[in-house]
Amino acid sequence: MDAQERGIRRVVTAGLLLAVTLLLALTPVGFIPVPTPAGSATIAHIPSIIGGILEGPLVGLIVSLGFGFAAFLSPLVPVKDPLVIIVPRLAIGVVAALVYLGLRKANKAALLAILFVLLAAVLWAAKVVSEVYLWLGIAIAVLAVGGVLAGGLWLFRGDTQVVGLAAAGVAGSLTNTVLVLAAAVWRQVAGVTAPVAVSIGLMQGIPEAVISAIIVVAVVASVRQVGRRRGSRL
Amino acid sequence: MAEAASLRSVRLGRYWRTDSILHLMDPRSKLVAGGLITAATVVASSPWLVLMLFAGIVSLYMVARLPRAAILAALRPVLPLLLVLGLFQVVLGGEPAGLGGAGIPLLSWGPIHVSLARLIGAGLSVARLVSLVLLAALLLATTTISALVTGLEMLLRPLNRLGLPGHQLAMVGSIALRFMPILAEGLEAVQRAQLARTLGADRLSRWQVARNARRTAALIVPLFADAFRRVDDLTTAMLARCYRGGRGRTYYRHARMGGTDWVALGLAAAVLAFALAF
Repeated sequence: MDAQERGIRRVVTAGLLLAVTLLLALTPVGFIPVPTPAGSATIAHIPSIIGGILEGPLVGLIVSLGFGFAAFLSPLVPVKDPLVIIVPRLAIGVVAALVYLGLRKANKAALLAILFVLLAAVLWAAKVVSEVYLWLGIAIAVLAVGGVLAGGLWLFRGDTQVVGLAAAGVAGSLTNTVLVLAAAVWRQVAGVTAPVAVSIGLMQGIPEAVISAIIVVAVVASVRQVGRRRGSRL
Repeated sequence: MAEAASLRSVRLGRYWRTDSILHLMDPRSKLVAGGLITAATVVASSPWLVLMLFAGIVSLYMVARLPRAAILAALRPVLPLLLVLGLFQVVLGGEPAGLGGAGIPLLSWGPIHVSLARLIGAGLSVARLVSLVLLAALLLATTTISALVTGLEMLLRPLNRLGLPGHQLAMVGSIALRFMPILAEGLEAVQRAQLARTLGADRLSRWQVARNARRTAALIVPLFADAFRRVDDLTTAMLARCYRGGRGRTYYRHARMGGTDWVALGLAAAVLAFALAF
């Protein structure tokens, strides 16, 4: 593939992923029912993550920009402040691409080390939270230890490339949740105060991150033909 | 089955064909003026200004000679959300400043205190949101998608001089808009095929997150596979036609800024300046 073809391919990939984004953002297919107050988790940010993984941070950035515009124009999103709706979302594809690039070459020992560093960080956050809400801190700590155990077991079963994909999916999705909510608090969007944002983040962000990881792995595995068996691992 | 059929009606504003001044305006000036008025609506803090902007945007629908159905069509999908937000504001929102003597308590019931000022504040934030939704719908009602893409590309052209990919960005946008209906058709076919094999025929509860995600993945993975197959085809087709980006490209559509466009831009800039000043 020469430079010219790669350039065209980037533009075309970004265009088609943006078409998928619009389809997911504007039709009911993009909303998965989950047991949270909002009732559904969006998957419209997933093409941005996949664009970042497959074609690098620039394509991730462009698809994320399109996602932001789609959300801005969508009649389903009543908040019309570009600093809340568009700007934070620019980071989705870039973060996913960087996480994937960072983890792509990592071996199991390095991944395990990263997992424990993350566990330490979450446990510290849980300690801080437990000083205000004891039950919430304990819940976070139990969830984190459980998550790390499950992640560790999975690490020794699956191959490392899939781990990198899932991590990029989770990172991209959490980027969306955390940055948009932080911007909403900063810009004082109606009804969003810091405690409200934290509870939305926990209840909406975690299922979205899990779903995003599942779908990113499934899609990239089928497009790139990775995984233990060739083809999709559904 | 109803769900599969609803895919084709993608919920983005629709174009209404009339021959008003707004329809004849250059897409560039509509985009820029729309951006300026959006900014004005976001920064406007005085209640009177918000109401004036709202009235101005509604009167633009008359200038555009759009039927009343256009306003209703734009607002119907957001109505429930607006009601919830409005209620939320009444109960928990802050009181807008600069309303001397309006802090009259109207209702006090348990922890809920509703004052006149809060009611006004809630009404204002709802009016602001309705204005913005109507403005976005107005742009899409008076401008065809292809004109919007041309306008966007022309607005981004100065970026090319700075070495930024203005042409490529517009190309991404036009590919996305061209292929969205095609992908929607493919998705619909996949959905019908899976329904015929009874996948997705039963309703899952909201608690079955993993199964719900897997069912969506069964729809989304073929969608992405379709998209990536089209990436291969389109890349080959563009290479075969010697596409080499924006340099030296000629255009089928030409837009020209007329008197109306400059007047509209001037007015929009004045509105923003007014909103910033007060």
